[in-house]
Amino acid sequence: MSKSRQVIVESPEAVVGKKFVTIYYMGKKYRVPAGLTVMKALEYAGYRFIRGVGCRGGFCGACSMAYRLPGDYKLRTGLACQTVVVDGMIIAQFPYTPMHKPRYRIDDMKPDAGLVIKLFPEVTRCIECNACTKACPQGLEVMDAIQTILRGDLARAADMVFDCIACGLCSLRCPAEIRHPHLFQLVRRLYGKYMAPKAKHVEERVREILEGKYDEELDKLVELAKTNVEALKKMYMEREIEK
Amino acid sequence: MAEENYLYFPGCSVKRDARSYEKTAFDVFEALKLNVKELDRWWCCGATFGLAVDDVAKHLGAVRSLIQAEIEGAGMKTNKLLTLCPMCFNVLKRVNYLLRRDPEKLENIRRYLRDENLDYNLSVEVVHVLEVLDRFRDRIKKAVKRRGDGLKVAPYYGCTPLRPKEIGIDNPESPSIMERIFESLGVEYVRYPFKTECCGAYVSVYNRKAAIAKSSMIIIGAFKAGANLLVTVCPLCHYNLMLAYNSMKNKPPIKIIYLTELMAYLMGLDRNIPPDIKSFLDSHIGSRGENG
Amino acid sequence: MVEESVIDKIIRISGRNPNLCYQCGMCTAVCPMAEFMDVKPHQIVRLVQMGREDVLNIDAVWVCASCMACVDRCPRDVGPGIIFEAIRLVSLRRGIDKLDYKAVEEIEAAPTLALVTASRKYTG
Repeated sequence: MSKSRQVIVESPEAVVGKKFVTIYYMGKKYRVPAGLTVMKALEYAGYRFIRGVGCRGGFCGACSMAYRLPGDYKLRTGLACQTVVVDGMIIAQFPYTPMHKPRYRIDDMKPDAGLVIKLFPEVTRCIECNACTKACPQGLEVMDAIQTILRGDLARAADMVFDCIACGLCSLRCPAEIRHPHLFQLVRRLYGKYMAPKAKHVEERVREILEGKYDEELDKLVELAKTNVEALKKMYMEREIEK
Repeated sequence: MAEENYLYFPGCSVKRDARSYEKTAFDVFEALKLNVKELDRWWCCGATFGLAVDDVAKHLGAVRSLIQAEIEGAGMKTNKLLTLCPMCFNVLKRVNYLLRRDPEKLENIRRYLRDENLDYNLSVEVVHVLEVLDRFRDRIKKAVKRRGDGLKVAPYYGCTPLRPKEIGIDNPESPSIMERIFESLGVEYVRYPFKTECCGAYVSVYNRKAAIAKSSMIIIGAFKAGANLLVTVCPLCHYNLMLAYNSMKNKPPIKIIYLTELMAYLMGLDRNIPPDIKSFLDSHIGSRGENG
Repeated sequence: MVEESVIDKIIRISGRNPNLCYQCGMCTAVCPMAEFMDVKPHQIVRLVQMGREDVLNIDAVWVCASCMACVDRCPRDVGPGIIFEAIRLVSLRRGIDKLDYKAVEEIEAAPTLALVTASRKYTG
């Protein structure tokens, strides 16, 4: 066995020339380069993600995880693609948060808290421990949003949870077993459909289209596509783009 | 401490289910020159006081709002937190009462809330709207614009403003605070046996029949005593009384209303009184109503 | 270690002493819900005194409205209504809910405070 190979086994730092940290995943110990995100570190350690991974940019909410740091009782939460490894970190990843989405037809709903509570009655079990807010990787005021639903202000609640990425961490921590991601999605949908101010210019444009205002113009383009594709391409490249 | 300054804790149901109670209350406050300011942030009080001695978690919501009141009260030179809903009153005041007498529980809650940089120093006084109105009866007298002739009012207190007696706003066996307010308003009231009887409370969710039976008894008791108005201060009592009233085959000619709706009417502040209540009151005080 | 009995749990959770009760019946007399109870308030306290663990199966404790009428008036400060909460909690803390939200009539029309209260009284 060559000398260099022995070095790798004893100290990867010496070979890679980088600082390494120790993390624990599913009860096993791994040495991984410092500065990596948990997701990259686990891939470095040899794991391949099939579930519990998505955009890798902190937007999709697929890679929720919980961890503890050495000497600290706190159970911390975060996204594996956004959280950087810390020496001694103990990690569990959640591929999925189990919860049914109650079925509803948005067209048959009204922007009424009573109907929301009917579908998600557990909202009324909130004891205001604030565990949800502490768990949220988006920094939302989750408990306050729940409270806002209880007092019937769906528009405000929808605004408060606009940035929810449905990672489900709040749900996992909630002693009232509230299904936050689906609940918040419903509230946003109700807001969008029934409460948000309608975009007048879009409605106007749709009406014009239906009335055939642009038919003639469109026919010309279709004709052009058949006769002179290059001219059409040029028109496309030079089109006026909405500012 | 300015006497007329109050911080206000609305509660979920006042915001969602009893809008006219709040709106007419604020019309009345304005007429009485009271400075009532809603908390910038507040949380559900819990609606019912957790009775288990080994569980402080159920008190967290109430403590959060008490802390908020402590912070905002400093700027407003008041430590009084006013509630309309007597269930909120009951829970907030009981939690406050408990924490003042049980340093261990207080420390337990403090330790939990330290994470969020919150602390409570027990300075808040929780008051119910009835206590406030009682205090300003002179102003009420002066603010009355309509004569309540033809109205016969049954005061209905229910449980939460009065019990347990440690936190009650009046003699729990024989309260008279609402009657005093009626006297200032110049309306006649009736005596009947059920003014402190329970409406059935949350049992209406579990055993609707039982709650309806209780509330029906109260309505019929008030009616038999000659009342044409049953006046409540509680959104839950109001809900149960309405459930009962709507379930009656022979509906007695009695209207269930919030105290502040009646007050606003008698003070000539009509804009937030629900139309059905306005027309009921109009028809009862008749042509002699307006006296300027 | 001796396992805590159901009765011990009820005493611990309520912080009250059922053995002080002398069965005067005040609680039952003042209870607004007594007519809907299978076992009356003073009888429930008696059963707790007797160490009957089957008090957990009594429906009456779920009909109690926590109105505090009995608690305020109990001459022995036993607080029957508080003991009933403890009996409810022994079941609820095992994760057994008493309320099926789907069975609640017109839940969408119920005020928030009715539902929050019911959640706290009937679910664990």
